[in-house]
Amino acid sequence: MLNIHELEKRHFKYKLKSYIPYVAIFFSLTVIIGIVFTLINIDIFSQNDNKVAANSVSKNITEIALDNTTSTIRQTTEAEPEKIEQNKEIVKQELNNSIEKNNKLIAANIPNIEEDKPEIKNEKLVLTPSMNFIEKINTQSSTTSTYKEPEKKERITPKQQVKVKEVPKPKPQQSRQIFTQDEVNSIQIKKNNTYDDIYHVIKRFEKNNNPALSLFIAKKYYELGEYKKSYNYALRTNEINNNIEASWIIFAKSLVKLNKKNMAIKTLQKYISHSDSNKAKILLDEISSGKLNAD
Amino acid sequence: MSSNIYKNSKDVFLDVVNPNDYVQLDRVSMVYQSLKESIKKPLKMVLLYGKPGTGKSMLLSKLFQDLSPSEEIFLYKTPITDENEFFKKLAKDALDTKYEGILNFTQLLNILETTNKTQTPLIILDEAQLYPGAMMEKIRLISDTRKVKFLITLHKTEKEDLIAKEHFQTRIWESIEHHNASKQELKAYIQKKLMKANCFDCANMFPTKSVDLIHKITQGNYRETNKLLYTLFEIYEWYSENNLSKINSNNVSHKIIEMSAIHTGLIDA
Ligand SMILES: Nc1ncnc2c1ncn2[C@@H]1O[C@H](COP(=O)(O)OP(=O)(O)O)[C@@H](O)[C@H]1O
Ligand SMILES: [Mg+2]
Repeated sequence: MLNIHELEKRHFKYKLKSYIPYVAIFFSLTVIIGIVFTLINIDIFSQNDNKVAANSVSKNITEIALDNTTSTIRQTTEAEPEKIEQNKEIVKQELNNSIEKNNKLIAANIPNIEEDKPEIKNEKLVLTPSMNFIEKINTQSSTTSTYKEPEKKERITPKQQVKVKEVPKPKPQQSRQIFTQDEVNSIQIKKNNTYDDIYHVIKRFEKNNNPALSLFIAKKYYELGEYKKSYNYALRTNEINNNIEASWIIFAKSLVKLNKKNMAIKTLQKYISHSDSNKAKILLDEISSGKLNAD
Repeated sequence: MSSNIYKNSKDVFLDVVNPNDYVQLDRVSMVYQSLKESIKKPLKMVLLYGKPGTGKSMLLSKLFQDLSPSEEIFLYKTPITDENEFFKKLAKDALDTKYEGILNFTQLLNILETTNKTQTPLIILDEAQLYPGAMMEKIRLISDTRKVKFLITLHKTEKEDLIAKEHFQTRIWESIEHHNASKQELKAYIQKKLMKANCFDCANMFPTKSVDLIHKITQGNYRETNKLLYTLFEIYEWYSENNLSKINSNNVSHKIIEMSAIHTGLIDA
């Protein structure tokens, strides 16, 4: 005989169970989306060990990456100056961290080149974001006429000494990209943008080891006068593919700049002997004749 | 509706093979026709195969009922696995010779050689996958005498497919496959069966959507559908006796379809 009540109960359970897949799908989708978002954020600053404020800061860094304009925006959130200060610290730390990491990585790949002191100084000079301007912003506010953000709502009262912009989180972008006119010249801005470019190319290169990318990085570093880095990336390019003429050229040029003229000449001769590269020959001439010299 | 109606409807779906309950369905009728033609041809063997519950036995019983008045036709619904028994029954049916004691294979072949019938008798073997291989081989040799022909019905499973291949591949001149019902056929099946039993109200309870759900549960297998609907009407019967408010007699309740499927084990719950 049928036990209808029992059957009704089983049916109820069955119905509940039949919803489980949908609920599961919903939840896993939410989780996946969440993970993807955090991954994207972390990806930008993957070497980031500073977990505090990681989300907000790295998100803003993404904006920097996208924003290559040199617009000089000066904003302060007077309401929460300590918070800004705090964030500035974090950004500074993070930038240093990532730079340090990159340096370590590069250093690991350098065979035998001694540390070049002025070089490193230079590097630090450029890459460490200047924090002075924040102080200036707080004090010498009224002189700033350059910021233009009409679409963003700002309340400017006539007597207001400081321009107040309502931003939920102070952008660490400021620390890298915002310069007062008196402070920074345009070349430096350009330089910083190049560093941003390089930084992203390096990220890509670490992922796919494409020699075209490392060559690009080597060239960029050479242009920036970071010869040790250009030497390294030329070397790495060469390890992946030793048939790229340009990587030999950059390699040799970097060696010259690093005061290793003899080594540069030897390298080029070796390369010319089995490639017959014209560019290499011309470069060899330049080096031998002293046209190309260490700075 | 009174619980009586549900009881009658329930009984419609008892799993019995009665040629009088046979309903005409598109593909079933086609198979029926081709079977009928095949057995009229001068073939030694015809093979009908298909999954369990697709209505093979029903078809055979219908064929047997329709043809037996005019033809020499015999239906062995359950396999006779004892050789001696089988030979004796065969001799009695097809040769009108009654044997006491033992009739071995050689003797049977000898008798077959000497007989001279105007019409070749047709022996229908249902559930032939249950015959031992050696016996199938003898049945094949018997058919080679062309004094009897066989309509052999097999379940189609992988193992039984093998038997079919080994024993018949080269000898079977015609093989016909029987399938589960399509959705439309299933709808026709349910409605025609109920109408045949004068359960018109219940026959109207199954809109296409409900039949689709049933088809999803049973894959259109007639036997599974019978089981499901039997339980379904049993549940309706119970509700109408105990708790009238719970049922709406116009359309079948999907909840009750699912409850029936749970009860019969067609759905895991
Ligand atoms: N054409 C049909 N008309 C009515 N009932 C059918 C028909 N085909 C199958 N059935 C029902 O389906 C059930 C299973 O069919 P059956 O012939 O025993 O399957 P098989 O022999 O293929 O395993 C039977 O009990 C029968 O009542
Ligand atoms: Mg059967």
